[in-house]
Amino acid sequence: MKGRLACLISLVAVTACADIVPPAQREGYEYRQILGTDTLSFKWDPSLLPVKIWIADDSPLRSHLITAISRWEQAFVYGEFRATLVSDSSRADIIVRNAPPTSGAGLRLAAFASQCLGETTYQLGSAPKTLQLPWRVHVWPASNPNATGIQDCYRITVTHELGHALGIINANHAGALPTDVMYRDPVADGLSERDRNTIERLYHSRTTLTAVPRP
Amino acid sequence: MRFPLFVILAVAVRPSVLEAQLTARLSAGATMGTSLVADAILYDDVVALKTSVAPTIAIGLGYPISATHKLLGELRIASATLTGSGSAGANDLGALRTIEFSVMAEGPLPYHLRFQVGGGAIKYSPARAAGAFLDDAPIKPMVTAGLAWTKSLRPGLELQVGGRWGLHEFTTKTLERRGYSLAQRVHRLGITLGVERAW
Repeated sequence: MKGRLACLISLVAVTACADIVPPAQREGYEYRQILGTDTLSFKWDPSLLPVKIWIADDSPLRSHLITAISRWEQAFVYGEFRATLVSDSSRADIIVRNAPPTSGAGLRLAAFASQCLGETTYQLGSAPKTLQLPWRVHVWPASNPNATGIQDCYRITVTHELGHALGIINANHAGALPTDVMYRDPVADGLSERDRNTIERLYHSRTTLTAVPRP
Repeated sequence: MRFPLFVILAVAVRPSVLEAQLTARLSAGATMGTSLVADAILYDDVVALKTSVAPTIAIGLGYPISATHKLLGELRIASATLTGSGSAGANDLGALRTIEFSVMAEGPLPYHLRFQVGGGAIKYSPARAAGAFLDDAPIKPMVTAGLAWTKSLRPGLELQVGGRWGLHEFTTKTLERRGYSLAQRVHRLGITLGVERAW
């Protein structure tokens, strides 16, 4: 009898507990791009995951890109973003190069760290409210490719630029603080809570742009 | 720790009827569970971590504690797919294996039925450290209860159809680090078909 009573008490004790409570405040910054009267916003649709990223095998950015992918994947609790490296650039959704951009086409999002520079570009599609893949990410040395601290700069800037390619496309980096990797002159080596909150909010909002796969 | 908890408990509880039989059972079936986490990041988008219906195998040993009741130790392994589901669709988070160990009292009911009630622990084992399982794969205490219908196939061998309910609280270090508080009650329901052999 005592055993049954103990079981019953245990059962009631466990079932009486409350459900999990999500964080109340999720402070972040602006991720949308205002273009004239249009508000542009973008996120990767689950049907496009894992996002295919190309980088040259011998690129000095390669290990930093792998770190950046891992950082952004880990920002999500519900698996909203996954990426994989591909060997064929013509199949890639994002192309990463260790060189400055050669053309001024598309919408530009830049970063200015001390030893290196970064720029991410995307193009709107011919159909309304579309974004033509691929995204193009460029990170290159400001002057000396062997400058002290350039590896740190690469790691921070590649993480920053990949954040743009995930959809944080506000060109002015409005609201981002120096502690955020998405600050315009990034110095934070890793994602802040505000970076995570912002990307999480973006991936649970309605967006205006839909990605058009490459022909 | 090579001896299962069941054996320790079985030795501690002396059988009142010496002729009662030791039993072993093997069963297979499926387990489903409620969401591990649910969250409204924005008001119009509720997102949840869900597990698919999981193929399940269970092995158990029964030790008589009276003429009609047994102490039952059971190991139950289920392999599900974990997804993060929201209004935008479902994101695949890979395989999620659960390993349950439970110790239960089992007794007779009318119509060839038996009840089971007890407790144990559930261990989560994700295929990759991601999402809520980034920092750890937790082990949680649980309560469990079940019902089994039995049919004698021949002396010493029984067919069993079982239903099992379990309840535990779920949270992880990652969720706590991200500001989630308290824990999610997770209900699990399993159905199995198996055989039990007595000695």
